[in-house]
Amino acid sequence: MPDVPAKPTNVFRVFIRASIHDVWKEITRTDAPIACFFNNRMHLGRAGLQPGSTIAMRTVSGKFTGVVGEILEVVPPTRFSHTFKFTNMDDPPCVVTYELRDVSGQTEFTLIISDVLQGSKTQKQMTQGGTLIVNTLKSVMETGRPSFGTRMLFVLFKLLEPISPAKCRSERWPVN
Amino acid sequence: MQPSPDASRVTDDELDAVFAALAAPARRRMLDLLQAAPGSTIAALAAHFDMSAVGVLKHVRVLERAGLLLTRKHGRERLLFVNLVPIQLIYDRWTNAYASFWSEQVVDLKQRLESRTSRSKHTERKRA
Repeated sequence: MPDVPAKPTNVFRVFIRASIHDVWKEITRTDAPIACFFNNRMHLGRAGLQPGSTIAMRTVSGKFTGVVGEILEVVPPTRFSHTFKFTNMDDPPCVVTYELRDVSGQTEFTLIISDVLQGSKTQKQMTQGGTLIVNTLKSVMETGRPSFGTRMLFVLFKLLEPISPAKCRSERWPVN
Repeated sequence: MQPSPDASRVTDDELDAVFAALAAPARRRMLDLLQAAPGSTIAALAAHFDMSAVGVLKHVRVLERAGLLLTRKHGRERLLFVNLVPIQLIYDRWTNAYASFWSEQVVDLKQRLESRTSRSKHTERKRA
């Protein structure tokens, strides 16, 4: 854990009618694409889900990697934090933290984005993406699938995958 | 028309809290200010308003209860952030009900595009 807590830049919160354990399982799964993370699949280094391990968010085909980072904190089922860098941008990594709180059998889910370079492309992406992440997670946990608009977005991603920039190719971003 | 399955994602109580919180110009301005300057302190926010600290705090609490405003402790300070997720859920609550109208069109387009791609691949193979 970093000595100086990162200063939050954006915070997103949603109340999910599902148990904290189910929500934790969903955001840390590696066996299937995670809808709320833009339908990417989470790949972890050999160390698995623990601090210091590398993390890569890859397309369903595995060919392209959109986000890479290093795990900072894993406290099941309440806290998961990792550095976060878009592979197609030259910005320094920021930090994302997921906080889960049990509220009488249901879950208050908070996404905190910290240490973003002000005015960067990353900041713009994160500000727009945060709402979609928490909203889609709520949808998946409560209705079993993302909202219609989000599902259409996934179709679009799949159609556009072949024209992803070469610097996002997964062989450039190995996990270890 | 059947209500959308997404309608169940927001309860009436949650809707009431958001609409009531937004039904005051001062509170809408607070959200605008916090969106422009995320992580402001209550004191910094209050400086924009010609009202007592208690008055500002009261508005902050209403926004907080509606989930539109979040506070986080950072060191010795309490920082305020705007959370637009409840507004997005309200948007989805009504717009997703109409989404099925064009969903079939988009799925159809996807299928036509994909079958065209596989057809052209087939033709290429035949040429080779």
